[in-house]
Amino acid sequence: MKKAKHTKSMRKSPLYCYLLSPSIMKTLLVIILSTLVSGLYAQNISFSTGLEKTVVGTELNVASGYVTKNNWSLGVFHQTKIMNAQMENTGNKPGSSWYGLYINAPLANTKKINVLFQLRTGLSEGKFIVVVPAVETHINLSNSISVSLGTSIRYTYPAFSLKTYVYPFKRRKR
Amino acid sequence: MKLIARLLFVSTTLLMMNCEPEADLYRHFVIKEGEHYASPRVVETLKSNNLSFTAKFDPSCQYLFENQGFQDSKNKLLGFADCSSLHHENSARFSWQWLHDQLEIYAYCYVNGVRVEQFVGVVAIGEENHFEIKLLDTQYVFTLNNEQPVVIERGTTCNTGVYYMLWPYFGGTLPAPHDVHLSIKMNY
Repeated sequence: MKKAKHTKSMRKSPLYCYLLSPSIMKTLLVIILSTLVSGLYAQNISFSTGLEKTVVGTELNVASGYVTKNNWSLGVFHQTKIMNAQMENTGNKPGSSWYGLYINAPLANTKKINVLFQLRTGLSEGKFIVVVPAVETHINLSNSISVSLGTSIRYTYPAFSLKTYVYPFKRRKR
Repeated sequence: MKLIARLLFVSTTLLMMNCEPEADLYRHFVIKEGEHYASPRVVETLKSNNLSFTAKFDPSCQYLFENQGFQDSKNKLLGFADCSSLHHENSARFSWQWLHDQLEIYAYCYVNGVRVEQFVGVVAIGEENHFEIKLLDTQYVFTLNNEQPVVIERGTTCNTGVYYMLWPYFGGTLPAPHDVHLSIKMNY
């Protein structure tokens, strides 16, 4: 009887309800599973930020994703156009913000340099699907920091990027 | 390490350069005699609710067909297929024709598979003209050189999807009677 009462009171408590809410449970599940998977399969989490210079202007890129031991990675990104005075005057700024998923496939790996094929798929202005292929060269400055130089096709013209990647958890030697 | 530092310095300098002269973004299209499609072929998708561009028509855009019945065939300039539709289902384009000794511009749409054409204006050969198609929730708004816009109702279609762009095409039924040149600059 006591046990039943205890359960009943817990069900009523706001903290209990909050912890059992579907969104929190999903988030917790994703975090726990990703940490477990990360440890078990030597996956790692990466955070990156950088600039991409396109024919239209310069964009700020922020991304985060998983990196496998074979250097494949999958993650999310957000890119925003950095405004300049000319753009503000014209008020014409297509694709000023876009976000989506990216996947990196290794083309060549060495201890210092990794060359990757990258595919970004996202939504521009929340409705226009955009697909951007790219090639990135990662230079590993240390075990947890690398910089990348990339080239892609944006607005049908070549674009160039410079990004910094941070791996907060120590990576395995590649 | 020195090499990496040098590479970083050079790439950062290149990336940050903002003083270079503005690039000439005019694309010069040619439709060869006997062909419909223009070269170069370009693949691009729309990334904004506003398609804005500048176009110049070369004197080669004046033509006369032997069969005058085809003279009012619309040649396509630029536009886009609406949200994940094929362009013969839902699309919006500017089109042009050489008729009555002048170059006439039309709004040319497919709305749920039905073709809709509406006269927009007349442009001069060799001059820059500003074109704009605004994509609203229920309408396409065509504007030529800031003149009175032409509005065409948009078909019921999805919202999120691929809006592939439609580049210059000659015809109509008949192909180009001679090489046709025109230039387009996107206003991003």
